[in-house]
Amino acid sequence: MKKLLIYFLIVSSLLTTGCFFKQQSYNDTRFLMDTIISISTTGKDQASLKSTTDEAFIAFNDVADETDRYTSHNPNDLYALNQHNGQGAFAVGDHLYKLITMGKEEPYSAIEISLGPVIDLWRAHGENKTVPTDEEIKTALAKCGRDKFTLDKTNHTVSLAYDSSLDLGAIAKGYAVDYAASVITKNKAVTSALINAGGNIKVIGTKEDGSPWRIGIQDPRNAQKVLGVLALQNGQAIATSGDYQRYYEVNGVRYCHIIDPATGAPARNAISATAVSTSALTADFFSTLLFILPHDEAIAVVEKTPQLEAIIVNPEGEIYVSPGLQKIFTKEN
Amino acid sequence: MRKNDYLLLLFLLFITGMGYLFHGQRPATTEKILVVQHGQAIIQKINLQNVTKASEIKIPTAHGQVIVNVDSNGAYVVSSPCRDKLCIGQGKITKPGQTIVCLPEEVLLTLITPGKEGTIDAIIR
Repeated sequence: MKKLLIYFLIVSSLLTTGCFFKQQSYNDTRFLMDTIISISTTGKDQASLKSTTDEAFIAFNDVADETDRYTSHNPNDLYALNQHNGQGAFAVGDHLYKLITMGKEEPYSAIEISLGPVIDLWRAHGENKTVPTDEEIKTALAKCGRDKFTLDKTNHTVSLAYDSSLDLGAIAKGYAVDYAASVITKNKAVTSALINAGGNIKVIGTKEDGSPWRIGIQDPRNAQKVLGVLALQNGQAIATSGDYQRYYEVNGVRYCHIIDPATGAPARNAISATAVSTSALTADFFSTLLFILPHDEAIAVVEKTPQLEAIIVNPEGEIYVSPGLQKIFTKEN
Repeated sequence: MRKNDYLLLLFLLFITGMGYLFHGQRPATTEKILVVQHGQAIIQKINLQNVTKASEIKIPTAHGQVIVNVDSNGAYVVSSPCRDKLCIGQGKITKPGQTIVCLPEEVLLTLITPGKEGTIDAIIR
């Protein structure tokens, strides 16, 4: 009887403390790609969660390094390519080649990866809180366009016209989230994960209690409020582009970091655009596109694109919620 | 085993079972913890219930220091050497899940709660 009671006490104490069945969780947050990246994982083995998260961060870092246009990280990165403008074919890394190919072939002219000269112009003026002249914008825009870079599929090279430069800000982070997610899903010890890269989130698996992932969408005009909460399922990705994260003001006018290629000036058709898809890259791309396009055109894109849902806030503060999200979006009062 | 032993065993099993069943059904706690992170390192975790009067914490960064005011309700950035001061503009965080970010100084302030029931898993910004 004594023995039985001892066994019983051990088992009951394990049960009551929750150690026996409780899932382990692991969180890590790092500063990468000019933003904060958080990876949260759950599974049965803490050591495995940590090593998988570390691998995911390494994957993220690989993409970050290759697509950073401001700092040199390796001989085949975007910084090196941009430095090589006007000097013929240049061999680039695999991630970079894929992203530039996408930027060259995607059908929407409102997303233009060759806007480097215009972005640099606005960045320089932002430092001094001034606004570029029309002439300056015109000169910078003349160096942009899809005819300013060509790709060679066989040799994995890119040729950039003289004085041109590429910027992958609209798609690189989404691509990095997908790449990190692919590392996590390979490890069967991870039962669920959430990758949060600021404006890009991907969820993997289901939460321990089986409930959907609850993702709040920031109110574009109140940093401490959310517009509402979206309930996401396994494999869904979400991205938001807004005029509130990176901007500067001159005489009360806000100049955000997202440039409309049609005007060479910051886009003003929305204050926040959120896209939901099954790929973080797709969500990232469309959140920027929907932010730039005029409101009606943006809604038309959402309606015609399979597996794309969106929430768009126009400058008047009106919120469009696409039909596919209406049942899973809870508006915050 | 005697009859009383079986009764004792049954009683203990019942108590254990009830304890296990209700383990996950405790009401969500209102406890708030402020997590202060600089770069990759978590440099402080402050249980706001224990903050009896507003105080300032100073986080040394590459360009100086970020000063954060903390009270029992939340936290906000008082000053920062960063250029845009967007972290100051983000105001005070008071609810679990809210964050304040200073990207140039690599400072992240997050309010969390130990019980996550009913809260948001992440906020997209």
